[in-house]
Amino acid sequence: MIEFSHVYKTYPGPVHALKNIDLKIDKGEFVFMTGPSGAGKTTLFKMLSAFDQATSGRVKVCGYDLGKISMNEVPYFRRRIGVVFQDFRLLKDKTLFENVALPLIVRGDRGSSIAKRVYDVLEQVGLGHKSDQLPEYVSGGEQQRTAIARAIIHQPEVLIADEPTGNLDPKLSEDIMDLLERVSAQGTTVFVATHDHDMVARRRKRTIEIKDGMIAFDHRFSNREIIGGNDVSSI
Amino acid sequence: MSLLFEKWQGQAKLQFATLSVLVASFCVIAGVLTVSHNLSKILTLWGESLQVSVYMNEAASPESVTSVEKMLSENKNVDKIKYVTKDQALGQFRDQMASYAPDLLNDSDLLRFIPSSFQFSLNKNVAPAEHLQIMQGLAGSLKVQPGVDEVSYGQDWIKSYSSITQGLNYVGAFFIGIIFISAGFVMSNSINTSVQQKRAEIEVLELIGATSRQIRKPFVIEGAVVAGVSSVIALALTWGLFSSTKNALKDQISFLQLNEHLEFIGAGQTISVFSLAVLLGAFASWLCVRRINTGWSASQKSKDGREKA
Repeated sequence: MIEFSHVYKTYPGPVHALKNIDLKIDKGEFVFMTGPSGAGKTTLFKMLSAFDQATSGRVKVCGYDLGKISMNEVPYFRRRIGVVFQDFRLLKDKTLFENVALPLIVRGDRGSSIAKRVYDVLEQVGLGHKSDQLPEYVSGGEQQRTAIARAIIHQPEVLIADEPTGNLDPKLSEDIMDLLERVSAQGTTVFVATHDHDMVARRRKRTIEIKDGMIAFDHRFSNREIIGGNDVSSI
Repeated sequence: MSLLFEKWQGQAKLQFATLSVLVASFCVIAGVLTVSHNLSKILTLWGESLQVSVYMNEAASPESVTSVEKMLSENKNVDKIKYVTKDQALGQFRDQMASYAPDLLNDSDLLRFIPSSFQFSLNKNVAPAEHLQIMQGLAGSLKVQPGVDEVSYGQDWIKSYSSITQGLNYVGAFFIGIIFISAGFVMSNSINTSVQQKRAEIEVLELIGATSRQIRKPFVIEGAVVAGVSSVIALALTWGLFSSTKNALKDQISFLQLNEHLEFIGAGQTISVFSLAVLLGAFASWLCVRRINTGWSASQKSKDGREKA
């Protein structure tokens, strides 16, 4: 589903943001990416969402080779992924319903089917009763759930979440992670960047740590580890 | 349309300034067109009432008179041909001068010189701009005819009026061009500001897979609507100004008998101004947003060569 082969990214300077990234994530996998600020997480996410291109190497997502994709194909590629940010990126002057409906409107779906699907997804994230509210009148956790609803409404194959709990308290962070796990359980590949090592340890999911633009470790929990409750932060 | 209202709420002052400048620009354009339209109309009116006189000389034979008559009647630009014999001309002269200069009528030497003539006017279908050229051509070919002494059509006057009108039309066209380009820049500036203000929205749209066309469309529509509305307001204002000026000058220009002929630009030109304004607005906006594409936001962000995390 996601494949990085010998990927390098160098910005003018030169600043080596990514160095020899080799990575493969399968369909339906839930993966955490951790690492300090400036390690290259955002660069990697920009590449995953076709907002930036690798200097060398190959990035493949949902069958698209993002090094060879044409500008005309980019929007259609993005319709197959969902992206969630730390700062939610909701449109302030649109209701939660309108925000969530955007990907379907862009895709050209019909009004009646859009309404049904939006209400379904808002119910799924527990916001059915707040569909007419503007983002500024709901809590941070609810805004993030709206952003997730917008990212999953078109049933993407890959969901990329860049620090989705960065602005939330621990309780709300757990709620958001539960929601992302439910999305993953439905077959969507979920790739989450986070600084929250405790949460990563508790969730016992595949974890990739990136440092100085390189993969420092890539740990998959075995069934025994998951049942036994080993702490990933000790690795 | 919702994008427009949102934008108006957020940028009321800038939008008011943009609309004012565009209205002023289109007012000037509509004004120039109205002046040009009326100058042309006056030329047509005067052209219609203009009579050409072909004076025959003393020795003109009946054959040469017939030849001139034939030549005129075969010309499709010529209308209302009338032959005035020497006696008819003398009679007319006597009638006209009897009360002004009765002594003149006793001067038999003078009366002897009153010639026979052909009088005609140009066909109504001849465009005013062509009057001078056609008159000159006709006069040139008539003058070389045997028996023709003189051709008179108020040459100097027509020439001056025609060149002034033509000059004003050129100046008007030049100003319209300049004003259109300026209006385009004003429109672009407004749309650029709008694009900057809506950058977050554009970024979200890019993120969820909106195509370049989907992102550009609201801005192009916005440009077209703002320019269209400006042109309608400008046309209404210019019409009001024209009507009030016409009423105010009614008594002052009554001696020219032009008041009833002065009119605002016709429906065709009005629609053209509106259509051109809409096209200008759309085109200027399109020029601003043509570079918005699926990598626009990202390329803006990554220009500094750094990343966020």
